[in-house]
Amino acid sequence: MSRRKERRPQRKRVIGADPVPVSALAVHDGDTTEEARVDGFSGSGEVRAPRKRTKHTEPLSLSIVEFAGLYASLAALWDMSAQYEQQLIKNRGAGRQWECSVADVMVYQLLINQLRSARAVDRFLQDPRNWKYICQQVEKAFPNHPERRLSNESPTRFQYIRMLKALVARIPGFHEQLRSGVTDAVVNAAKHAGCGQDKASLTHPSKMNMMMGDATWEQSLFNGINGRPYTHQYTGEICIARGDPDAKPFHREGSAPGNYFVSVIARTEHPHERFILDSQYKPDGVSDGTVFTNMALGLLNRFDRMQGVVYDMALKSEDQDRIGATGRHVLCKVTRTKSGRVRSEVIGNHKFVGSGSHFYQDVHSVDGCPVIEVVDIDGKKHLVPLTRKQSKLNGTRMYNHFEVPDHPLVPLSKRGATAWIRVFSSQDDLDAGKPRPRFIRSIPLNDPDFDRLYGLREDTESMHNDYKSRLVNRRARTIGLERRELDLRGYQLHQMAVAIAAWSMRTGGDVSEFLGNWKPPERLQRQKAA
Amino acid sequence: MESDEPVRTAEVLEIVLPLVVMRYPAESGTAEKCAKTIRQALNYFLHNGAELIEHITPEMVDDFLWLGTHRREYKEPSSATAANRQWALRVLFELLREMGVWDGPDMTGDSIDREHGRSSRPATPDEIEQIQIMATNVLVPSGDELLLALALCGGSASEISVVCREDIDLDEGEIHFVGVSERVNRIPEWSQHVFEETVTRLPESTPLVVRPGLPLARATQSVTTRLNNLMKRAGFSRVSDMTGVSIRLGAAQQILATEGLEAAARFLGNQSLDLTAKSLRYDWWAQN
Repeated sequence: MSRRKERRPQRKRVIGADPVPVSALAVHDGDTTEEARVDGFSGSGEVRAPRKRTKHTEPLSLSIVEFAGLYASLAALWDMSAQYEQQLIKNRGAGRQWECSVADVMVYQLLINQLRSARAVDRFLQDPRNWKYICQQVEKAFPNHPERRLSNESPTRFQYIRMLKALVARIPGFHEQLRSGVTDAVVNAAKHAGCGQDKASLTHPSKMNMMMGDATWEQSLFNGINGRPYTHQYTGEICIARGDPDAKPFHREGSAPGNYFVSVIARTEHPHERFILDSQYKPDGVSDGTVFTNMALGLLNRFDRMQGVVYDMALKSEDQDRIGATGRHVLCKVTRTKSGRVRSEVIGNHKFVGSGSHFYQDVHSVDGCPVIEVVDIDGKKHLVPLTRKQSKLNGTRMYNHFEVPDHPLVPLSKRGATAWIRVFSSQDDLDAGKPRPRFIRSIPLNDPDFDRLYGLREDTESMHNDYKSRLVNRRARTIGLERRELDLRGYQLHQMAVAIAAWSMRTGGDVSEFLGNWKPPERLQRQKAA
Repeated sequence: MESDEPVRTAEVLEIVLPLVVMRYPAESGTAEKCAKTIRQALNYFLHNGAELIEHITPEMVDDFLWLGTHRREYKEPSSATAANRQWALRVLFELLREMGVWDGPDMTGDSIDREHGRSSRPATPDEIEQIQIMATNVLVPSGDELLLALALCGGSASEISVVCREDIDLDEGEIHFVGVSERVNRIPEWSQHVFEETVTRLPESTPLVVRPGLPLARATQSVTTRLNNLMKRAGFSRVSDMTGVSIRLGAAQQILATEGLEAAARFLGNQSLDLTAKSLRYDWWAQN
């Protein structure tokens, strides 16, 4: 019986608010090696089922047909479909007339998120009452937009597939257009819900002003590598394996083929109000941290008050510096060294200013936290973590104001003294081969704000799990990145619809810009009133 | 040993240690305590960059005086601890000056107030009675009764630990305490009764409450711990300002009420009336 994959044990925190004896740490200053990552499929050949997840929360208490009505009321869907419709007409070649509109197909695509497969959607839409209800919902949502109407008959699966092929084939750069269209819509919706709009200080950023990201491995539909011959186990016949042409093996050649995709999300502090701002399959030869950084840099410019990003340890120092150069925080843990030790480095000799006096003191960094060394009465050395009092920008360069804590171990003359420490690399640091994000964090791991904000990253994992739970057997439902990309965009739009509807139901705010005159079902409004 | 060569901090201990022992020949505990503190201080200065004794600064000295202590957890030092460190450093600098290897200014600053008596308050007559009951009514003889009787005579822990049978004159009702504040105190009634019951059966020339031959520091610690335990058993474990010292202060307060502050100071062996008044929570300036 195969063992299920267990949750990885949480890493023990070595630096808290209290001093730590140097002897208890056994650190090596300046060790730049990095511990190998062990996450994802191990590649050791061991067959282990994914972690069992029993808890599921239903985002909105809507039936499938009500969800269909919500999808069809998305203004972004109509804007995009109108744009593609025009381009299709412009680039139309020979052949039969399409029997459905782009909007029909987009609603079809979104419904797959509820029903898990195109065949299931097909069966659902074979009941004319369902399609009729969806059409009525559109009429209610956009009474003043007669052009925003679905076809009289629902699209069949073949019509859906044909339309998708046409969109990809006949519209140049369709995927880029779709990605930017969806991202624009989601960014506007996220702003409308208040993401990246909170008036919080840079020192204590608001949860609403953080962007989170993560990468996940999506296994392809088939186990085999595309085109690879294999010998049939009974007949001995040489066969060609079925496989996804774009899927890559994970660790070992041939194991668990699939692709990584990376998502960037933002959220409010309330349930279900999570927006996937952008999502992208990771190209070969680029780390997922770099892909995330590229996406985040594009998005950060669109939110004036976005104050930082949260990612896992795949975010390398170069990528952190790129985000840091925009004056934003980067929240991520610090990798251990190859020998499994806590990373430690000398930051430098800093001037500490106290009340009426100053002194110079060597500041070290242990596990991303700046510390100073003190001795106790017996001559034993201790590391005292400094307390972050303020984060400040000089232009776009971030500095943290650290204070020596008032602790019995700290000499009286040093207590309360403060120093400014730069947290991202300067050109000199890079020239010296000592990029600062390798060993220091703008919000150190022992800072209360780190605990408050770092947990947000798990929302991305949660969204990825939700996406995969909507796939059959948690594998890609289509073959080839072109089609899989459409599934991803569909989920992005679905999540936006859920988030904006949840926000509207919580606040009663106006969402006509995004959902026309859509109103939550009567029973939900009654529940809320009660 | 006078030379122009700068003295290295690491070497000071070797030079000073024999002198400390010579300075306190009769009190091995004092010399030991002083040497230990000087060693800690020199290590501390060395770690903070004072390679030579010339590099030691008043800030460094002040930091050392108030450096946190730890047993289970790190705590701020009490004023008594800081004062002890200050005394040891004064000894160090005096010795260095006497040897002519250092002629800098006094860096230890103003004397630190030990805040005597501020931590423990005098026990009230009712509280003393409660402690007496607890000391008397025991199933197994523990010697606490005798200890309490000695404390009520006004002896400090170190004085109690060296009291022998011949120091108690039951006929005259007096007790002779030896040590730094040598004195004769009158024995209270309850203590007289206890001594009559117990002391006459004990051998001569041996301490009454500790093993013979026990070093003074250990004996003092033993008496303090037993008095504190007695206080705990009497129900004062959660009263932060009630310690073993409260017993003798309580007895002294009764003397204060009947005979005045000077008599109370004599009873406690204090040379300072200010200190006595402070210990007994008596505002004698306001009274006069």
